[in-house]
Amino acid sequence: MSQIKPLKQLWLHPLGHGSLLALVSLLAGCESVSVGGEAIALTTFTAPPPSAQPYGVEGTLTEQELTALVHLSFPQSYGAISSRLGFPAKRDAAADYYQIEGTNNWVAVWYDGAIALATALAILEGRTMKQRRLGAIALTTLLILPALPSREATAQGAAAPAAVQSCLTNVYCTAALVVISGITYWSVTQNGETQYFPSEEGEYLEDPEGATEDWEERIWAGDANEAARRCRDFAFNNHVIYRGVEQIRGRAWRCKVRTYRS
Amino acid sequence: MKFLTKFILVYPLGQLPPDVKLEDIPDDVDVNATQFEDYIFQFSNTPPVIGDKHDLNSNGWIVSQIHSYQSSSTTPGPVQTVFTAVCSQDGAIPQRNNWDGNDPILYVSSLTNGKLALNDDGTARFGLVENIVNIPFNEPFEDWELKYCQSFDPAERIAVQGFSQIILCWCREPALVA
Repeated sequence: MSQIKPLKQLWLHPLGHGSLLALVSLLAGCESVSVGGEAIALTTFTAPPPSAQPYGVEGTLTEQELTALVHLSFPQSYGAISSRLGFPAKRDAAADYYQIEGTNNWVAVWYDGAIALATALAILEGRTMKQRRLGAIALTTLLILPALPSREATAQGAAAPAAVQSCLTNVYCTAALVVISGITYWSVTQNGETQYFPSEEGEYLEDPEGATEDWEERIWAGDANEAARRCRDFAFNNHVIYRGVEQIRGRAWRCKVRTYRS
Repeated sequence: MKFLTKFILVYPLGQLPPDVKLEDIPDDVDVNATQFEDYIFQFSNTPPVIGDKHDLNSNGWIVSQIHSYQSSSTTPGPVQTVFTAVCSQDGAIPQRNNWDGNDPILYVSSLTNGKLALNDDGTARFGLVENIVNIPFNEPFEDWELKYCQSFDPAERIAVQGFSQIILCWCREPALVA
């Protein structure tokens, strides 16, 4: 399964909350930005790009399907998305594009890699909106989340579906799913302000790869290399994904793995 | 606090560190084939020097190999360089096997006053991940709150058991409520 590939050059010095939001606004208004000498491409669209090819099916989402999409936990497998939402109206190398039934709005489900990991979603309307690609989105969140009071984010969780759905029908609002540390957040940007809502609680696709759960196992190892090897072996033998190890005492290590709820 | 050094204390093959008792070792571990390592993180204003002697963990150690990681220009902070200082008891460069997988990312957390995140036994809490998103930014250590991170890239070719990147996360303790 593909992994998010953040852009490490974007790590920043502590900025005030307002400055971080300003950064997001800045990024959302450029074709590209140069950070640390590396240009980070942004994707611009008023509709699916010309490179997107018709898939040969209607490819629309009903209001119910849109609601389901809002509640999904990401990442998801391509199979899970396509079996739940059907095939898209258009597709290109980066995303599948669904038209919201009875509107001119489009939803893009972004994928990373050939295995098609669902990663981000954006609503498009009849004006130019720019949505950063996954890596940049994830990293932007990475930069912002530390500045956000986590308790506040948790408290807003219950309001997330309403806020996101409201945003999805608002031409002046942008919603995006961002994934950081295995937790998925909705980022809702309107009038230059961005709010974050955990999307951890929601309905999950009936797919073995539908949602993730993080697990820890204590292991014994004489050195870091052995710890990583043992943890990787543990992950392999139990058909889960190796995330990393953390030393918690001299020879005791926390083996972190990720599995999927079915 | 210009530098952070990770001292890697490599015990001779089969020698047990002071904290390890034979009966604590799992049955599936061949003690004679195990090369134990201890890790000690220290902030300093001077870089480590090859040949320097250090008394650490009840043993004398000699720095035999140093690798440096430079702070990324996009992540300014108080620490300029992170060093890994491989130490042995006789000063010789110890034989170490490379990672089985990709070169990992090393992460470690510290308060802005220089107090490192420490485990119950006094060892520094650090972790290894292959993807930066697996660093627990939301829960850096106990109730600490993340302020920002510095990123360090290898200054030279990545050495045996080197790191593709080192992330030093600066944290603060939550404010007391009156």
